[in-house]
Amino acid sequence: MKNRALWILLVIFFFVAGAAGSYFLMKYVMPAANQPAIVAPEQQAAEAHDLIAVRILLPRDKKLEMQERKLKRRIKSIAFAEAVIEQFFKEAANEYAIPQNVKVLGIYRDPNQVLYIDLSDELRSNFQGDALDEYLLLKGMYETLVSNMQDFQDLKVLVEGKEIETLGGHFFLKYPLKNIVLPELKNESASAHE
Amino acid sequence: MYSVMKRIFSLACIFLCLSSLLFAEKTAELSLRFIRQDSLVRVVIEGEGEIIDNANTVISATGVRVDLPVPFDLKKPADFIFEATKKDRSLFISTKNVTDTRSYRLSSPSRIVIEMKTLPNFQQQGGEPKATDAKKQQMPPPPPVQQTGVQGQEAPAKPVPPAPSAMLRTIVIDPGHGGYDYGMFTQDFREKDFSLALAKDLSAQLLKKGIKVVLTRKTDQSLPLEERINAANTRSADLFLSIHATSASAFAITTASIDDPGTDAVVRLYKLALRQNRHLDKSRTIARSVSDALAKDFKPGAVIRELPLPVLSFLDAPAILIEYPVTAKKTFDQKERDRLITTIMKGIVP
Repeated sequence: MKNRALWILLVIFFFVAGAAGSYFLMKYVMPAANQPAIVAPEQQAAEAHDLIAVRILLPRDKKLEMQERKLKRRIKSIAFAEAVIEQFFKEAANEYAIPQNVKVLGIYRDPNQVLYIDLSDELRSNFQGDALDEYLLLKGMYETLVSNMQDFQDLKVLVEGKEIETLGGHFFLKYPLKNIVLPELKNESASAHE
Repeated sequence: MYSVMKRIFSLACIFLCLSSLLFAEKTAELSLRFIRQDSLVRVVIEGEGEIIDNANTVISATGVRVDLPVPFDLKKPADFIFEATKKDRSLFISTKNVTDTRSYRLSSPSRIVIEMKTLPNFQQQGGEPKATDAKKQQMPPPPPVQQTGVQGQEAPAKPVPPAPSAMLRTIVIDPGHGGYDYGMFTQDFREKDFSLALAKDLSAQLLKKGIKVVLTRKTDQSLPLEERINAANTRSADLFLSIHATSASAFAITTASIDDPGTDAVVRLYKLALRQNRHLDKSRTIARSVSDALAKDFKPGAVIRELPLPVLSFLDAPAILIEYPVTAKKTFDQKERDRLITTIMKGIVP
């Protein structure tokens, strides 16, 4: 009987000790871990110095519009290209016809300096644009990369690691983009209603 | 004892059910279609990705054997020009009268493509050359008749009045998208369906004028851009008309934009990818004519632009792409559609 009472007391003691320990841990230890680290002004300056301005050419109102954004500098050009194209889709996702949540699955470069961008299937399955929208999306991707890096000759887009015939049924995607997107839009003329 | 027997019986039943599931094989659905362009016949076998990816194609002197991983059902057109025999998990296509065969696999949709080059005397509509063919070949070709067709399957000929203009005898109409490619779509609108309906209506109107019309697709099917281009180039079309939708508020008429400054002028004229060069002036004239007609009948008119679209640039014929506006406020009912057809007709056949 005496033993039983002792066991009950021990269990209660451990329970109370555990609860108290948890309380002190949550109150005094965890908040300190969650608090943002105090960054010294010198470190802040160094981080700002490590940012690089990139030009993003976004399809907007049936034309390309250039915007400047700051991205963290990357040493490897492939990593930089990935960051630039991720930023492109992040910004372009607000535009009509441009699919949202497009992910960059990978970027590779072949010996002929052709850059391969592997994008998620959202690009194709959710694309809802007309011929001009498709042209501007492809041109925007190409021009964005050309504006920010020089060490590639051409750009090829893959979807889920595969070569696909077309993105939206208007332009070939099975060939590199340079020859498709280089011509400038011209002779835009309207026949007005009489 | 009875309960032990009952347990054994139940276990046996469960085992049998599981083993039947394990050994049951699904039957694959395969569809076969073919396209004939002069002496080249392209046979396309379409099916589920996994089945096609694991299929094995063997080309021999007598035919092509396609070995599939599972039993299959084959749908093929009644007028298929080669003998196709199904045996167990293999499909054998006899290649009699074929001089050269090659096969390759494509994805989206998964398909095996077999290209066969036939002998020149191989009869036009299929099968073995018949005794009457020699007589037919000596006769002059029949006069042009109105036709509509999909990928080489032309509709039966009907007597029609002569073409109003010697300039436009054959028009290829290409309804954009199709199959798994919906184009633009909203809750009650699908570009692929509306473009097809529009193309069919336009085709009917052109046929009444005695113009031969070929539709690149007559049903809701996916069609690669290359096949759309070939449909026009193999028929010596006088005009190629591609029909699409635009998210803009006005109509858009597009002609090819051919900018290749690095290429020599002579090369540019004959380069495969720039075949449109020779027809660009005429394409622009037709685009202007259609645009003016649309501007008279529809608000806010039409925009003409140039884009390096492959369905225009690769065309060896005058070619334009018409985009009709589809916005939340603007959709076309039957009456509007008829008005649109009449207006496009005014632009094409003034």
